[in-house]
Amino acid sequence: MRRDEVPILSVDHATVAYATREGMAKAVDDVTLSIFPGSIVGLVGESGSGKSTLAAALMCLLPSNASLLSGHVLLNGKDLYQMSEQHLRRIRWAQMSMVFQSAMATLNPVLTVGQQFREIFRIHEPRMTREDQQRRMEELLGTVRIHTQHLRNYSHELSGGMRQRIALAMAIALDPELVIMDEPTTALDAVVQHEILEEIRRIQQIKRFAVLFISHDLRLVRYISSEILVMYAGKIVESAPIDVFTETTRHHPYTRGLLDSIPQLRDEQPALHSIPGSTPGLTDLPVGCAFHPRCPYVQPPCLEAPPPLEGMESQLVACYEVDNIEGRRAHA
Amino acid sequence: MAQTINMDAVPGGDPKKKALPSDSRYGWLKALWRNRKSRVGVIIFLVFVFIGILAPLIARYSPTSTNFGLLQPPSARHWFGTTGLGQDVWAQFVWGTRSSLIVGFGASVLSTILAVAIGMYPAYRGGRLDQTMATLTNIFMVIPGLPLMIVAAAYVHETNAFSMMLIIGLTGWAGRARVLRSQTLSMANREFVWAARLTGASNGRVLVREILPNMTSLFFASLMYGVLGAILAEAGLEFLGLGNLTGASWGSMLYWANNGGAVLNGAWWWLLPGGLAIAVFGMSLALINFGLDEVTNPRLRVVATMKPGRRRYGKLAGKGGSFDEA
Amino acid sequence: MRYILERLGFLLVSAWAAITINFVLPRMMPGNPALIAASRYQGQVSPRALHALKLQFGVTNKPLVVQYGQYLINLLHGHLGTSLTYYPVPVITVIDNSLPWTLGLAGMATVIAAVLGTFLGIYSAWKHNRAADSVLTTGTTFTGAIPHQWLGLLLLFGLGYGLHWFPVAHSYSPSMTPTWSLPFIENVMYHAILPALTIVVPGMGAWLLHMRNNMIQTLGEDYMVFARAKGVSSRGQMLHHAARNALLPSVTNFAMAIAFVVGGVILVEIVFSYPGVGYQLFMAVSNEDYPLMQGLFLFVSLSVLVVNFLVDLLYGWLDPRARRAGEA
Repeated sequence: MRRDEVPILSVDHATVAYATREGMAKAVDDVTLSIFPGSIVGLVGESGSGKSTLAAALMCLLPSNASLLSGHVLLNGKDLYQMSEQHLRRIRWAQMSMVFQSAMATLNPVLTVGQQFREIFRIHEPRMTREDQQRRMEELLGTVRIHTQHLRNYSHELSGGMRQRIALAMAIALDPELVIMDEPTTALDAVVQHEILEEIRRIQQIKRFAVLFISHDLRLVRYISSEILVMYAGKIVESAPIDVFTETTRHHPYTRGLLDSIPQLRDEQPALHSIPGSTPGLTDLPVGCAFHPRCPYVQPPCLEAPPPLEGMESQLVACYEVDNIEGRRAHA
Repeated sequence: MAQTINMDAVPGGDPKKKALPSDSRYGWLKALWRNRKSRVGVIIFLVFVFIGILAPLIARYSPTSTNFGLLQPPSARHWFGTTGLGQDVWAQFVWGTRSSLIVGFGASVLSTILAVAIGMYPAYRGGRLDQTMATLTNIFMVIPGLPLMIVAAAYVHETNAFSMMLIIGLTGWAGRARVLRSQTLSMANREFVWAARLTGASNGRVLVREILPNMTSLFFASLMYGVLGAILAEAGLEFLGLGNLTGASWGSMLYWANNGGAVLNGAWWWLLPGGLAIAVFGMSLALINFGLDEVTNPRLRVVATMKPGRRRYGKLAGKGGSFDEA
Repeated sequence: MRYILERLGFLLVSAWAAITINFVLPRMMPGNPALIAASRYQGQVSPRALHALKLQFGVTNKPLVVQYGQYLINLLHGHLGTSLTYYPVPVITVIDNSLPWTLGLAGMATVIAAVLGTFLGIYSAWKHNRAADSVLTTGTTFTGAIPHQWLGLLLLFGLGYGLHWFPVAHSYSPSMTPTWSLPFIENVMYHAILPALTIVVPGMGAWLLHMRNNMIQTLGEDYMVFARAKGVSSRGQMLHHAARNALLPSVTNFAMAIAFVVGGVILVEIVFSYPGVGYQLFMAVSNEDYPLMQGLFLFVSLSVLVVNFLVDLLYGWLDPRARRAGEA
């Protein structure tokens, strides 16, 4: 994270909360992160950890019962939440676009793929002629390896993989510097999932846009990312470049749990560990470290106050006990 | 129907609460009172019910007595004036409330029972029975109701409150049967119903113990719409001269106002009460249903919006839940 | 194609049901209507007509199946009997003269109510949770429960007899001869305003509420977030993306709306002495003219069924999913 480059997107102590009958529910709690040009940042966490809310906050697409309570979201140095709606509409999708979890649900069922594609150009490049639009669409579909005849199709006529490729093509239509991908492969079966992942990698290498890749699946995130963020109950609990992340054994207990729950092919006896307990409800978060009720290494300080995200060099971990974990684990 | 809806809007809400709808199966009753619109509806509704119950005490005169001056405007003696036949309009309104409510509720109970028997039970059983009943329902949906009732009522020569209930109840079930059917179909596939089946509960038990209690608010809505439909239908039939026109009801008040020349004589006090009573009573039912809708359909609910101060771009309603489903 | 055949099948089945109800109803009821009518019209109509009336309502020794067969054959030939009110005019002629008025009035009122209600529904959803939405939705709870006959009488009272703005009865001025000329059409329109308004006001609310609720439901869909992310203006989101989707379920509600309108039209025609099937039905009921009543019921039902069929086709055309699913 400490580089000389200027980040495309930087999030500075952002807190997002939902208004509920029980009061405020902080879905994103004091999150800070930066995304640099050309990097692929992976964000991993269980469902309900706030990662999709974070994605919505970055795109300024929070639902009306949620809002950014504090902090800043800067895109190329400009605060998105200080912009006029007009300005925001112009730069969103042009500079930062998004691939949503389910392309089935993100394509409008009564409009053809072509109509929805054209809309992007109509809004953002109004001077483009119809022929230019057509040429550009064909080029983009070629990039994601979809036949141009599908422009005339409705979303229900396409397979899940095709829809997600089209969503990808739409996301890169205006050559954005950053593409946020919220569980882009979750709704797909394993084979197609792999194909799409490869596709993302290939296109990213050609176009060199940055990616925020959000998934609940650590394997996918590890496979594709150059940097990994682990989120739990609205907070980033660990962040590290991929090489450090893979080499070190020093992790947040939650990350440890995620790693242990991945089946190892080479294991003689595949022992699957899952983390006991479940994600806490956001309205009744435990005091102290939010993970402590599920943590096997819990110590008295963990019940007092949430641990800060800190560390040496490039790896940051939010855990008081991180340096003691390895030893005791070897013991056990 | 009435899950703990507030959890839907919160990512990471306790999943156990969604699986156990019994927590608030009757919570909608409380919610009806909490919702401002439906509270107004409940109050108006109760006022009418009390007028109907207390009719003998507050009517002051007999609704059929013709001993008063003709076409007298409202006065201290005749609060709502008198008709062209010299009847007291207030007495007619009060007694009419009683008889219209009785016919309305009677017909609605009958048609709701039919709607359950034809729409809900076969939907739960499935198979050919369901197919047949669904087709039957669709046919009765498209055959216009009032003309059918008119023809039926015309053949029954001596219509009274009871035959009125029968005619309206037997013809007016289709729309609600369809709603109940689709709701039952979706309910039968809910997780808690499957769970009950897997534990070996019998079909009947699952229907009575698991599905029915979760549809109470829908029954209620169905009954309410039935009452409004029945009162409108009765008034329609009476306007054609079908029905017991010697007794007082909201519908017969309109019939006599039309045929007795209320419009030509400028007797607005004779014209107003019958129709206004139906519209206001209907409004109270619709307001109650309105509240019910907002309780059972989270997206229509007034979501708690955040305090102003920070710019928001979100303008969409209650979108939190599905956005964060990973 | 399969979708069209399916809807056509339903049209035929429901038409058969309406025809059969028409046959069964008088035979099911206590007290034979033919005998009642016969005694009432004794001497006023010819013995042959009375005999035909008895046959029509089952006063015969022939088994039901034969009667049913005879009834269907008569129907195919357009023999619906003779009207007693307008003796010796055949029922089919009365229907022929009155049905166009009703279809015109009901059609016009339905379209106005649907268009107006739908746009107000979009507006209401747009202003969701704000004053305009609250006023509109609360307003519909009242207007939706207004009895047609009452509103008709009020309009007649205020705008007809009171202010003399509109004619108080009939579908055109008695001094005019029906032609396809502009003055005549204007005259017809002028006469139709109050009756149409009487149908539009109570009917509009249902469209408004359906559209509003569908819109709010649609606005919560992921593709709406996607459209917003792409930079679609809020106007474009509403009209281009949400309204088209929200309109589809509204179209399926046509069946109920039509039934409601037909009920309303009958009552409104009585109030305004408008010479459509509703007014004739009123005449038939008042005069115990059972052949006319039966014929009117049958033709009203068949018209509604055909309109519903056409709406189904429209739905298939609007919703690409229904259309393609049928072809696949």
